[in-house]
Amino acid sequence: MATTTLLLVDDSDVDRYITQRLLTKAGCDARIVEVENGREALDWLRDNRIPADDGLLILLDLNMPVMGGFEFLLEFAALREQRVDLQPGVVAVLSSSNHPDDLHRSGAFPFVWRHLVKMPTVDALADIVRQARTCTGRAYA
Amino acid sequence: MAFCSHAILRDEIFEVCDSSADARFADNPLVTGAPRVIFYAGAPLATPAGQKVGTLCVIDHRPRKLDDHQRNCLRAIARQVVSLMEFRKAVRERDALAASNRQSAAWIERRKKELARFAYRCSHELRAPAIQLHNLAKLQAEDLTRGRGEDLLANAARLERISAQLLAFIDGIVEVGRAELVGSATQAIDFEQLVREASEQASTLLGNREVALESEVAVTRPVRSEYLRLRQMLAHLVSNGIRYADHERPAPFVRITVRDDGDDAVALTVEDNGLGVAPEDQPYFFDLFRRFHPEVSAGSGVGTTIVRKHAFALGAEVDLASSRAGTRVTVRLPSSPEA
Repeated sequence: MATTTLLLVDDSDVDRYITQRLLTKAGCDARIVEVENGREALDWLRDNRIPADDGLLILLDLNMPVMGGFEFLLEFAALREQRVDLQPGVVAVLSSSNHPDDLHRSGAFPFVWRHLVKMPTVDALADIVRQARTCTGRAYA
Repeated sequence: MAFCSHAILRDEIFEVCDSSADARFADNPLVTGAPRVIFYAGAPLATPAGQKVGTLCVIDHRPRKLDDHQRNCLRAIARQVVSLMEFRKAVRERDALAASNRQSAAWIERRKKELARFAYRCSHELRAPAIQLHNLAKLQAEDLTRGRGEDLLANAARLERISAQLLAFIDGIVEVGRAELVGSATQAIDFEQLVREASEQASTLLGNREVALESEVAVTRPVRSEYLRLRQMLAHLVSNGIRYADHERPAPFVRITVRDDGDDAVALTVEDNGLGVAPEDQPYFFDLFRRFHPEVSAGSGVGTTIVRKHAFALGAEVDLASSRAGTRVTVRLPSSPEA
């Protein structure tokens, strides 16, 4: 059965914990992978392939050490060009920033679906997980 | 007494038709030798405010007498000379004013950017923990209803940690705000006292940390500055040295040196063999709420910002050199002659 991989990119262990709890409440059955910054997220994506029927949802914090969210988005855009399995992948920015510049900058990437300001409601999370599940490689092809 | 000294005292043209026949000048070296001033006519140069700043004169080697037309010409040229001088002065003043306006505009621009950055950092650093507290409290209620004691306790520990950090941020913001108001009278700086007091202030941090605090003061030059700002600056730099000491190294130290620097300055240096700041982080060294070793110590992230604020207020330059071998911050204070 097809599953969704959810890559949770956030440097705050507390935020990852809260997000996990909210995802559980949202009935999320995705496989959740936690990483602490953009660099670790890229490393994980380079080391792993997303099966053709599976969805990929990246929940991305913006303000992180080592590699922040915007830098990650640029790198991910390039990696996505080379990797068919990543093309159905979508990103939801999950940040405590409600600064208009940040919303504008992340919105410029076509694969960034949403900009969620921390913490989103359970319904909003459930909604985005459901949408990501329908957006698989097969649905794309 | 020279001819011009007479001329400048008058309001009208001072004329000597034949100085060899004039008892006041006959034996004057200007008459008997070069430039042999036999005839002299000088008009005083008076500013519009009435101040006499010089004379404009014509001389000849033989006796002469100016007619009315010539006297008018001399007066007109003298007025013209004053006008030119006034004009040049006005241009200089205007340029100086424009330069100072440009400076204040640049200063305002800088402050605006600083404020925008401050607001942005505050919003992130305060919003993030507030959101966490809010959500953890909700989760705790859930834990309690479901009788999940372990989760409840774990979340209580998270709440405690986050609220302590939040408190540190708030204290930090208050401290940065106060740094603006520290301004004190300028005084002759006793560097021995400064280093002693700042070390004492910072050493409360030492606890049982094995960091050697060394200092060397060798200043011959007088510096007049604001003592309180300097002490705060130094205490923050020393605290950072202690906080980010590298305990993997055999002999961690923080060393304060005060020395004459160049021709007109005193360099105050705080050097350590600690963890250092990575090259990519160095541009942000003085930024508010930047912490480069959060795993080592949760400083409030305001120390270097306060250092920069004080340096700016004191007209001092701050220089950062950091590598894996340690960090060196140099504050270059302008020296001033003892008043």
